[in-house]
Amino acid sequence: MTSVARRSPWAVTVPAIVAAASIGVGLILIPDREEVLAAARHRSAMGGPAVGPSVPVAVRPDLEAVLAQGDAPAIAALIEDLQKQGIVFTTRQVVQDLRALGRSKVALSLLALRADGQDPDLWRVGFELARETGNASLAHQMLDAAVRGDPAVPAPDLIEAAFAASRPEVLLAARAKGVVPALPPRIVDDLANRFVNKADMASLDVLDRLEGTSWHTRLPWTAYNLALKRRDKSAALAAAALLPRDEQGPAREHVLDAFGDREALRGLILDQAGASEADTGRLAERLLGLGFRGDAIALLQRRLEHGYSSKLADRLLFLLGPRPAPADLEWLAARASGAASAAVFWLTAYAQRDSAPRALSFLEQHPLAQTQDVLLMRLTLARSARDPVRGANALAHLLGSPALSAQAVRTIDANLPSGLDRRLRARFLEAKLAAGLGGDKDRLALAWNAWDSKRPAEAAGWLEIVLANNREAKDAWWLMADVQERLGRPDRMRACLEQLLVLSPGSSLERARLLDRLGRRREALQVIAALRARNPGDALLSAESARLRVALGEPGKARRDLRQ
Amino acid sequence: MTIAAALALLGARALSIDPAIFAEDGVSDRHDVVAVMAWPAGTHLTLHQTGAELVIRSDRPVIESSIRQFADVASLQIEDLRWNDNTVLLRAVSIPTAVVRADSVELTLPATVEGVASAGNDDARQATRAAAMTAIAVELAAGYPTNARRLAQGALAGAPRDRELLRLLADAETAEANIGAAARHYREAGADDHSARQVIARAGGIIGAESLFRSGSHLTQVDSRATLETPVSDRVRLKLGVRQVIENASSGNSSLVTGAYTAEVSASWRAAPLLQIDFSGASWIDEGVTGGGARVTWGSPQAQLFVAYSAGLPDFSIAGQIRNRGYLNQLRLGAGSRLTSGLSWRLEGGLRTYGLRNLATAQTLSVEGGLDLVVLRRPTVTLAYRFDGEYVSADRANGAAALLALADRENHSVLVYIDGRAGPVGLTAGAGWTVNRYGGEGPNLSLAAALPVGDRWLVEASSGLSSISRPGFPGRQVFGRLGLRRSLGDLP
Repeated sequence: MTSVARRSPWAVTVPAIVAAASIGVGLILIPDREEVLAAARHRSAMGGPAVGPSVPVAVRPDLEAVLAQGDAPAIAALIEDLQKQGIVFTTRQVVQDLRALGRSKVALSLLALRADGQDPDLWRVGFELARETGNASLAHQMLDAAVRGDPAVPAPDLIEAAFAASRPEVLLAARAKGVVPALPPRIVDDLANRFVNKADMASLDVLDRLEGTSWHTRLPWTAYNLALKRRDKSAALAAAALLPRDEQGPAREHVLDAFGDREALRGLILDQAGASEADTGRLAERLLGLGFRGDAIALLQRRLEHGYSSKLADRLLFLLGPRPAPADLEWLAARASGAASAAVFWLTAYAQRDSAPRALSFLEQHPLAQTQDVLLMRLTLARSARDPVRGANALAHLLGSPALSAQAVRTIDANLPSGLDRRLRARFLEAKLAAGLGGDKDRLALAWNAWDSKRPAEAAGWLEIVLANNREAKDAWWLMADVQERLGRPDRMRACLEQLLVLSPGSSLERARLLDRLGRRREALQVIAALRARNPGDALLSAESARLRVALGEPGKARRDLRQ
Repeated sequence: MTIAAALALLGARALSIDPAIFAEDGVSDRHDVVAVMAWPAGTHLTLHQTGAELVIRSDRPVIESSIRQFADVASLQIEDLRWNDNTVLLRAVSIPTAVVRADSVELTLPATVEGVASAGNDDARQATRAAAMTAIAVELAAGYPTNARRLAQGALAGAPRDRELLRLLADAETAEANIGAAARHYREAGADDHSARQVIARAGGIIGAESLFRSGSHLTQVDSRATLETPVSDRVRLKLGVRQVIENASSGNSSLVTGAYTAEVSASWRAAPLLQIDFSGASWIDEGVTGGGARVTWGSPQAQLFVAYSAGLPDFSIAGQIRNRGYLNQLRLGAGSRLTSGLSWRLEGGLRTYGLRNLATAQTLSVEGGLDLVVLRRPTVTLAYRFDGEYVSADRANGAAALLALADRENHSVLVYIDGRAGPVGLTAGAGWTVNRYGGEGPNLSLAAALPVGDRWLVEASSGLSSISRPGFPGRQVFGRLGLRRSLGDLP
C-alpha cells in the first residue's frame, strides 16, 4: 500500500511524458502539408517517378543499349518506334533516364528533336539540363523566353528557375506581363532585400507597384533603409515605427537628422529626455549640436535639480560661461541654497559667476556663511569687489575659526583687504607664522604693526627675532632704533644706528641720514656733499643738504642749496 | 602800487622745489598695456563694462590663441580672465578702455595697478609735501616767514588737512606776528607743544603789567603800565591800558617828583595778511591831554614798510613834559628788510613836534636805522650797527626847544648781541660802544631774560647801561625793566 502510494506518481507521469514527447517529436518530424506539396511539386518538375522499363524492353531488346550509347536522333527514332507500337514511352521518361545515365547533353539534344520537347511541362527539365551541361546562355534564353510567356511555364517552375539562375529580378518582368500571378510574400521579401542591397530603386518602385507595400511591414529595416535611400521622410518614419522598440528612437532620430528637421529632432530629443533612464549628457550634446543651447542648458538643469553629477554639472557650468544670464544665476543661487551635500559646489560655482558685490551679499546671507570655505570665498570676493570692510569682516571670522590650513593662509594672504585694522593684521600674521608659512618679512610687519599700535616693547620682541635671523636686515635695525628711542634707551638706539652705519658703507643718502640721526651732522653734510659732487643738480640731495644746514644753523647756506 | 613795488624790491624770492624729485624711482616709467582679443570674421560682439569688469558676449568662440596671448601680454593688469565659447569675462586691476572693432576688442589697460596707482599718487603727494616742507623749514629758519607762509599755503591747497603743513603755516604766521591766524592753524594742526600752546593762549587775550625804570644824569623815571589785550575777531585786537609815570627831575640842587596817569586804548586790524592798520588813543587823566594816531604797516619782518601819524598823544620822555602837559605829534615813515638770512637793515625817519600846555612847540627831524649781521648761530651772535639821530629845527632858542632843552644828537653804535638759553630761560646779552657825533661816547651793556611759566605766564626782566643819548637823557643811563603777563586764551 505504502509502496504503491510511493511509486504511483512516477508510474503515471513517466510513461505520459515519454508518450507526449514521442508525439511531439513525431509532429515535428512529420512534414506538414506545405512541405509535402512542395516536395511533390519538385518531384513532378524533375520528371515524376520513372516507369519501369519492363514492357519496352520486351519490344525493343536494344533499348538499354540505345539509351546508353545511342545519339539523340537514334533515341528519338526509338521513341517514335515504340510509340507507334502503342507502347507508352514518353519523352519525359527518356530524358529522365538519360539524365540518370549521366547523358544530359544527349537528353538536351533529344528535347530539341522531339516535337513535345518544347511543352511547358518539359521546360523545367530543359532548363535544368541547359544548366547542367554548362550551356548558361541557353538557360538564360529559356528563362527570358519563359518570362515573356513563351512557353507558359508554370509559375512555381519559373520562380524556382529564376532563383536557380540567380536572376530573381526577372520575376518582376514576368509579373508585369501577367506570366506569373501575385508572388508569395517570401519571394517579395527576398526581392525587396536584393533590390535594396543593390540600391535598385527602379526595381523597388516596380515591386511596390506590382506587389504592394505590405512587405514594408515585414521587413522594416529594409523599408527603413529604402526610405532613407529614396529620401522619403514619412516612409522612413513609418518604417522606423515598425522597428524593434529599442531601435525606434535612434532610427527616428537618424531620420530626422538625415532630413535636417531640427525642430522635430528637438521635440524628439526632449521627449526622449523625459524618460527616466535617458542619457541626459548625450541628449544635451545633441541639442547643443543642433544649436538649441538654451534647451541643452535647461535639460541639464532639470536633470541636476534631481541629483548632482559632477560630469553634467561641469558641462553645464561651461555652457553657462563666466557670467551667466540672470535667470541662470538665480538657478545657481537656488542650488546653492539647498542643504544638500552639493550646496558648497553650487555655492562656489555661483560665487565665481555673479558680480562680486552681489555674490558677496549672497554668501553673507547663506547658512554656510561662517564656514571656512565660504569665508575664504567671501574674502576673495570682497577683494574683487574692492570692499575692504566686508573683507575684513570675513577675515575676522576666519581668524576666529579653528586652525587654518596652509592653503587657507595662502588664500588669505593673496586676498588681504587693504587698509586692514592693525589688530586683525597682527592676528593674521601670527596665524601665518603659526602655519609655518611666515618669515622675517611677516615678523617685520608685525613689528611695524606693534610700533604703529604704540606697543614698542612688543615691536622690539619681533625685531629681535628678525635680527637674530639676519644681522644685516637694515629695515629691522632702523625700526629697532626708533623702538629703543621710544622705550627711552638712547644707548641702544645709538647702537642700532651704529650697526646700520656699519651696514651702510660708502657715501649714500642712508648713511647721511644715519649720521644726522646720530647727531654727527657735519659728517652727514660731508656725505651729502660727496653725493652732490657726483650727482650735480640732484634736487633731492640739495634738499637733504638744506635740511642738514638748517639743523646746523646755517639757513643761508640752506637756501643756497635749494637755489642750486 | 609804489609800496608793492618797493616791497617786491625788498622782498626775497621764495624758494621752490620741483616735487618730482621726491618721487620714488620706477613709478613714472610704467606704461599702459594695449592688448587685443580676436574672434572669427563676422562674429557679432556685444560688450558690457562695469567699472573694471568687462563682459564680452559673442555668437562664436573667441580665438583661443588670441585670448591666451592677451592673457600673457596683460598678465600684470588682469585680476581675473575667464571665458567659454560665447562669453569672455575680464576683471582688470584698474579700469580699462575698450574699443570694439570688427571681430576684435582692443583693450587699453592702465599702467598703474590700483594699489600701485594709489601708491604712485601717494608717492607724488609725499614728494610734493616733502619738497614743500623742506623749503618752508628753510625759509623759516632763514628769517623769511612770508615766503614760508606762501609756500605752506600753496602746499596746503592740495592737502588742506595736512597737519604738519598746517603746523608750519602757523609757525610762519607766528613769525609774521599774525597770531590770530597762527593760533587757528595750530589748533587745526592739533599742535600741543609748548610754543604752539603759548601762541594759542596769547591769541585769546593777554593781561599784563610792566614797569620800566630809567635813570640818567638829571632824570629818573618809573614808567608802569597795566594792559588788557583782547581779540574782537580773528583779525581785530583791542588793547586797553593804564599807565603811570613817576619821575624825579633834578635841576641844580632841587629835585621835583611828579606823576601822571594816562588811559590808553588801541586797536589792531589785520586787514590782509601783509597789511596791518593800528589805531591808538591816549588820554592824560586830569590834564585833558588827549590824542590819537594811526599806523599802516605793509609787509612782514622780512620786508616791511610803514607810515604812522599821531597827534596830541601825552608824552613823558623829557623832564619838562610831565610838568607842562607835554604832548607829541609825530609823522613816521619806515622800511626794513632782510637782505640775506644773516643780514637785515631798517631805516626810519620822523617829523616830531613836541608840544607843551602853553602851546609852545618844537620841531625835530629824527632818523633811525640799523644793520644787523648774524655771525653765528646757536648761540646766536649778532653784530649790529645802530644809527640814531634827531635834529632840532632852527629857532631853537624859542618855544619848547628851549624849555625842553632839546639838542641835536647823532649816535653811532656798534653792538654785539648774544642770544642763548639756559634751561627754560631765554637770555640775551649785549655789549657795545656808542659815539655821539655832537659830543660824548660810552659803553652799552644789557642783559635780558624771559621765563615762561607754564603755557600762560611769562616773566621778563632786563637791565643794563646805555650810552645812547636820547631826549631827556642826554648822557649815560641805567635802566631796568620787569614785566609780567598772562595769556587768556583757551588751551586745547
